[in-house]
Parts: sequence; structure tokens; C-alpha cells
Amino acid sequence: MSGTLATDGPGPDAGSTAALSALILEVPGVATLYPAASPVGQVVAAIGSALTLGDADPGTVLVSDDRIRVRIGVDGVEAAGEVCRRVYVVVRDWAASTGRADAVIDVTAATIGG
Amino acid sequence: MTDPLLPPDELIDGHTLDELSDYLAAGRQPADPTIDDSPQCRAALTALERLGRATQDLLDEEAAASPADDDWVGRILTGIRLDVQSGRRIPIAHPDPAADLALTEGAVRALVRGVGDDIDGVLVGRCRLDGDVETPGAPVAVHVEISVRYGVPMTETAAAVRNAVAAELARHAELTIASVDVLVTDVREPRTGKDAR
Repeated sequence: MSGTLATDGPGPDAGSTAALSALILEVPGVATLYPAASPVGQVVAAIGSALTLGDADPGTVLVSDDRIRVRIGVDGVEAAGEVCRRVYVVVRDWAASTGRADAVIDVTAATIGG
Repeated sequence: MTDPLLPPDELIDGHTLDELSDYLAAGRQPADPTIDDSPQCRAALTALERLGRATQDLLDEEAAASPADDDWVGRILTGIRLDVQSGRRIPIAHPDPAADLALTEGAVRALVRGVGDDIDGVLVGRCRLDGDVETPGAPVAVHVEISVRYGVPMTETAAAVRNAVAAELARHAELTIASVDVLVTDVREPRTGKDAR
């Protein structure tokens, strides 16, 4: 899957992927946000950040022109499915505000509680 | 660390179970983001911690435990290894076709393990979801293997595990659960850390 990784530095604007990550973490029931890229993708992103003198941020949310991928851990208190739907709403609104209204939004809960 | 009780190495998101065990023993220091940021590794660490508590006395006092004891430890470790694999995607319904929402099969199996382990006297070994979990509405049979502490009533305990697992799956996973089968595969002596509580 081609795409760009979230590699924003500190102080993101509202349209940045770092801002999107912060919004997702505020969703009730979300316990954590995992990097959505493959391990290889995370390494590539970290190297890219290092080469551009940015922070070595492996990225959390994966954004391409036609797909936004988010991988979360849910707290186990709220129903996992409902938490994913809440996250979807947040991501959809962010996508619409950044010109990606047609993107497929992939939200995967990788852990429940624990 | 090489533990003769462990099954052959398989990678958990790039790490062996030995590496994760060592990381846990070191207090997760120095922090390794390839472990901390991996849900598979975190699930494995959680399971290892749980297992460590339950077997602390056994490991400390009886390093040369009987083969029968080794069997259940090995089975549990094998179960952990299987559970931490992400597995299939279990879809979550949404009316928007642009919404691709799911739970990982590994997350659901880890949930089942946690629910079972929370019941007094129970340690969950393997957990398996049989059926087409990727197709909404398809019937899914859940199989759970447990060990129980000696003296715990098996029938009541198995029923408690079955009921708790069914309730948590109904709450978190949009699966059509056809059955929850609980199989008691081992009876433990009442001397491990969890059993001593």
C-alpha cells in the first residue's frame, strides 16, 4: 500500500496527522494509538525524519490519498465496536477538513483492555 | 534466556518470546519502541506477566517440576504465542461503505484469555475461533482450553468461564456466537502465585 506516514513534528496545525492522532486519543474508550504502518514502514519514516533533521517519529496514523489507517487499543470498559465507530467519526471529519473526503477510513482495534 | 519449556521460536512482531521475557525481567528498560508500540508484543507481555504471577512459586521452589506440571506451562506458553498473532480481521458494522472498521482476531483471543484468567482458579491455555469471522452473521464456535486449580469444582468453573466469555464477546465483538466450548485440560496443584491468593 502506497502512502505517506505521519511524521509531523511538535506544534502541529489542525490539519496535520499529529493533530489527528491527538484527536483520536481524546475519544472515550481509546486507551492507546499504535503505529498503523508496517514495521518496515515505521523504519523508513524514522529514517526520513532523521534525514530531514526532524524528530525521529515513526508515525502513528497512516495517510494516503485514498485511505486513512488507524490502529488503536481500546480500554475494555467501552464496547470495542462503539469505540471504533467514534474514532471513525473523528477521522472522517478530519479527512473532510483536509480535502480527503473520499478516503476509505480503516480503524482497527488491536487490543482490548489489558 | 533459553527455556527448555518453551516451544520452538516464532517471531512476535519481530521479537522472540525469549526477548520479550528478558525485556519484562529488565523492567521494560531501556524502553524499546519496537516492543512498546506493538500491540502483539504488548499482549504477549501482559500474558507473560499473568503467567509469571501464576507460576512464581512453582518456578522458584520447584525448578525441576514434574513432567505433568511442565506440560501445562508449555501449553499455556503455546497458547500465548498463538494468541498474540493478529490473525483475521473481524468486521464492525457501519452504514458508510467508506468505513472499514474491525477488531483483530488476536485482540479477541486475548480478551477471552483475560476474561478466563480473571476467574478464580483458572488459567486459559489455548483459545480458538472456528468459523468465518470475517463474514458478518456467519456462525462462530469458540473453543477455550483451561487449567484449573485442584479442588475447584470443574463443572461450575467451566460454566463460569463460558458465561463470562460469551458476555464479553457479546459486548465487544459483533460476532454470531454459535457456541462457547470450555475444555478442562489440566488440574494444577494449589501452590502457584495466583492460586495462593
